[in-house]
Amino acid sequence: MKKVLKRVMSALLCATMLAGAMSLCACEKKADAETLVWYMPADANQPGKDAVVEEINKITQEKIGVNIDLRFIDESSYNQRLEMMLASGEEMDLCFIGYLYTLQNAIRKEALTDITEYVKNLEVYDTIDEDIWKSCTYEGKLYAVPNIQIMSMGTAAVFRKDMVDKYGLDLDSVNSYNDLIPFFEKIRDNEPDLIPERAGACFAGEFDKTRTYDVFYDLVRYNPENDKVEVSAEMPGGYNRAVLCHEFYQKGFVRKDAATVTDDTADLNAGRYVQTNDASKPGDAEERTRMTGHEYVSKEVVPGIMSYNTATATMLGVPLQSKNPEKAVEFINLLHTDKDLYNLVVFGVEGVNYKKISDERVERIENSGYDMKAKGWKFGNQFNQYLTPELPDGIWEKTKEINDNAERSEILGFFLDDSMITTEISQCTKVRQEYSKRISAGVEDPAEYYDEYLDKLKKAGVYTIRDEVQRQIDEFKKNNN
Amino acid sequence: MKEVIKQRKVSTKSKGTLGNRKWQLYGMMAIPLLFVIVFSYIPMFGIIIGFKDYKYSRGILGSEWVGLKNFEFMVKSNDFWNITRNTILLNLLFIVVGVISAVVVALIFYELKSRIATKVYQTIFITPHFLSWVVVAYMVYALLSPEYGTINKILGAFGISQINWYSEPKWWPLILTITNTWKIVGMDSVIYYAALMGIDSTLYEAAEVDGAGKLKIVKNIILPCLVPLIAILTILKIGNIFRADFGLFYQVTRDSGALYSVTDVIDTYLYRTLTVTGDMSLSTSVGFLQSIVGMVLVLITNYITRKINPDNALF
Amino acid sequence: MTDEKTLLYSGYQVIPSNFSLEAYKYVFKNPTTIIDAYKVTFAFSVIGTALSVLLMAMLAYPLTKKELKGRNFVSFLLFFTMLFSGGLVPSYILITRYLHLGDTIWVYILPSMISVWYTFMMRTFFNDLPKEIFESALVDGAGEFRIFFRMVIPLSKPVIAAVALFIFLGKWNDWFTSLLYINDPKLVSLQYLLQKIMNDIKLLSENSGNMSIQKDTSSIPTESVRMAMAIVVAGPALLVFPFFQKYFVKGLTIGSVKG
Repeated sequence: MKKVLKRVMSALLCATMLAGAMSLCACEKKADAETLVWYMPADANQPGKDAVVEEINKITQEKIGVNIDLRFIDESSYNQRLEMMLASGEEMDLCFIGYLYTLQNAIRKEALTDITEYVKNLEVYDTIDEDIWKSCTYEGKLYAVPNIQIMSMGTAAVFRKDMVDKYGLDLDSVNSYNDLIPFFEKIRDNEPDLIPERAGACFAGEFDKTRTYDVFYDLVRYNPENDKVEVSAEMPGGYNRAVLCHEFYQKGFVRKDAATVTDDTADLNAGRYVQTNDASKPGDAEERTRMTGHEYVSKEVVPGIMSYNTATATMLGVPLQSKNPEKAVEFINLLHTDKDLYNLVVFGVEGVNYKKISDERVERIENSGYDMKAKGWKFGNQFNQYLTPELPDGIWEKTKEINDNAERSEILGFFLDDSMITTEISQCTKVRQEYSKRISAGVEDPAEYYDEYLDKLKKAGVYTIRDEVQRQIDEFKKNNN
Repeated sequence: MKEVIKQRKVSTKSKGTLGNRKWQLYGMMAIPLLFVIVFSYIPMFGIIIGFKDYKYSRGILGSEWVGLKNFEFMVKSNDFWNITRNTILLNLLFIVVGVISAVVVALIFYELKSRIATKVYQTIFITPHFLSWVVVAYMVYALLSPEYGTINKILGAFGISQINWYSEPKWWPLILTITNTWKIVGMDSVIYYAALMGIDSTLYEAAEVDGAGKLKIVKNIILPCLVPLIAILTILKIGNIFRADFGLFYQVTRDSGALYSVTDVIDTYLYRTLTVTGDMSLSTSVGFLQSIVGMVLVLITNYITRKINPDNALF
Repeated sequence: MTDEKTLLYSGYQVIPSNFSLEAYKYVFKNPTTIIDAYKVTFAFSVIGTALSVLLMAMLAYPLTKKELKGRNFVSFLLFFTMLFSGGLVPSYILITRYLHLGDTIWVYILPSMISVWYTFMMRTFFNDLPKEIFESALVDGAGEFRIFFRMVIPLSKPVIAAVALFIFLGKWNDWFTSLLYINDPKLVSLQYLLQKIMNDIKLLSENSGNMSIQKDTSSIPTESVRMAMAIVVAGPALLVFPFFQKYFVKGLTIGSVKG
């Protein structure tokens, strides 16, 4: 027995050494100039991907003469992986930049190639609103191409339709959360299995008198009316919201354990909340319906603006290590303009991964081995995307209209450099997190703790942040006028 | 056999020369040391990232030196003393309570003569080690949840007013210590148990024949055998006293803001900063700071241990 | 093992009131992923543990020789790596760009081969072995390698079993390696599958302030599925314990040694 063990051990040892040696001298796979490596955040386990990539290559070979090597990284790993790949200079020609790995971060690390010249000569440059280009231009240079999707998202309250109908809520006449109190009372008294509202999914004030601001780290916001940067928590809305949350808690509209529940996706997915918030956009209620299996209706409560946040939320960038940035940009251009290619990436191969129902409508085939979860907004031009069953007709036209008419942020093109205020940001973030749940859960009376909250924010240096942001915005405005 | 034992006890450390065998021993260490050098020492130059404004375009070496700027966000912070205090005090508490309970548990196993009972108990104690902090956090929540929690239900049954555990910091040093000990005690005790197995049972039996009581045996025979191990493990743990177990402090506390005054530690603070700024250099510099503190503490502890008994020192 | 409704409406209970296997059916609905992960995790855990223990013992044994020059220096060298590390980026560059271990099973095994902690633990045990037996073997002309394999290892079974158990569990619970180095879905570890769910949830809650993305919670499995995953992932590791336990309980005493 011992001998056998010993032999196995030594065999293993030899194998290790060999593997080590082999991998050391393994010929480095030379980056093929004709192949672009493209990293996207999506479920990495997609056995049908190779077949789809083959089809993609047929198109790209013909149009721009390159092959695409599409690689998926699980969304929750994307930030760390991309950071490593950018830092190490690993072979990569295209990557998703946006809410998972911000443009600001990528630029600060000097991780991306300046693609201004390439982009300006291509069709894609004309298809995107110039205000959007403005908001992702840093020091006159473009580092990533924004995807076309909804560019102005406000906040919507979504309601379970069966409850709205049952208790006769007239959504058109609702103009503040106070108007919902009678409705919530009925739910509380008659629907023991449901919760009227998801904790914190409310705010004070009247719907038509609110707006979306440019917010920095959820701490300060820029108010264009007086051209001042303000501490969000100090504004009347902050305190009033805390009061409202407390009132709703006392009335039994929110769950009692909201202060300690860290993850309520199960309740959310089961449709237990009669009202919750979503980003407002065409199809928001339908989206919620798909997720929960209960029909929802929506009402916009805060209109959105087109700002740095929305313009840079989803983009494709060309990392510094790309050996062929020009072709990479051409491929981005193709994703924006070639409808067949775009839908191929979103849905896979027709007949294998999806069925066409009509010209514009498709239905996915379950477990076909390729599924981007219809997240066409992650790249290219979403307005070219086929409609899945839950999306209403004309959704892209409506979205386009919203984009065209959206109110623009007054400081489009402003990039905050936060390197001077990192200490204050981490201190204030701690304070904010310490209180944000207490506020939204509403267990305590804000009269008792709100001053303490503001006091702690001040001690943590929120005014330093405010003044620094103000200084940078002033400078930005001076240089741009 | 008895000869051997006797020899062992009376043996003095012979300081002979190794001669040829020296090279055999060096040879034996060569492969493992190669791994250490390749995977630990080669990447170590990356420590300089902590002192640089790391730009990917310029590489690690080419980036600009910024001195101690990357440390400022933490050291200059108002919270610095609070998180340092929490990290060190709680870790000290964990070490002390952990060692004592692990030794006691190991002794209990050792004393249990029935093999089946030993197996059953060991399995019960070791199971927690297999659970991730996420699962442990759920279990703690099942006990402490304000609405449905078992403990509050029991308190209620006795007519004691319920406690809102997740908003009362004063209980948390205790809760964290219990949770941490519960999770690690089984595995730690396995080590001590293995050491106890190595104790010569004849010594033990001889003492029993001489009529020594249980306590006396433990004190005079068993504990001295465990001391070297306790010393080494404690020194090693002290090296990490400035590092906190992220899972414990983040998951189990449910990141409850009301508890920050006692549960916010260096690692959770860093995590929070990284999620808003995404600046990697910060984590490298904090890691370096943690290492320096650990290093100093270990050198001191090791020096003291060496003074008392050089055999028990780490180096 | 409670059904989802019970979980939602009455929270967690120490004793489940409503038993259901629904969640397990869901977990195994698409079994290839889990089976692949099982195979990979089992392979690298076993190979990695065997190699690690052997190499660490080979490192620890010479360190017990007081006459050996440079012994303290090597100890310090090892200890130093426990505290100081260059961080993720240089390791990542080394492992993927120079050693090309990315997307191979070796990335689970080689970089974490030597755990200094357990090496020191072994050293302490080896120190306690009676040196005289070795000396008598030396008189017989045995080399150090022979002594090591024939005497040190057999005599140290309890500690080797203990260390092996620790390493095995460490490997079994490894998810971060998958996150950083593995692209091929066939090579991810079991624990990563579980961790991914937790990370997804964290990602959603982190972005909750950011209204500029669409949040899709429907891909997050229900709580009972998560629990079932936790059991499926941790379960087999629990089963290996008795295998190692055999060695502790046997307790090898000096008496059983016969040169």
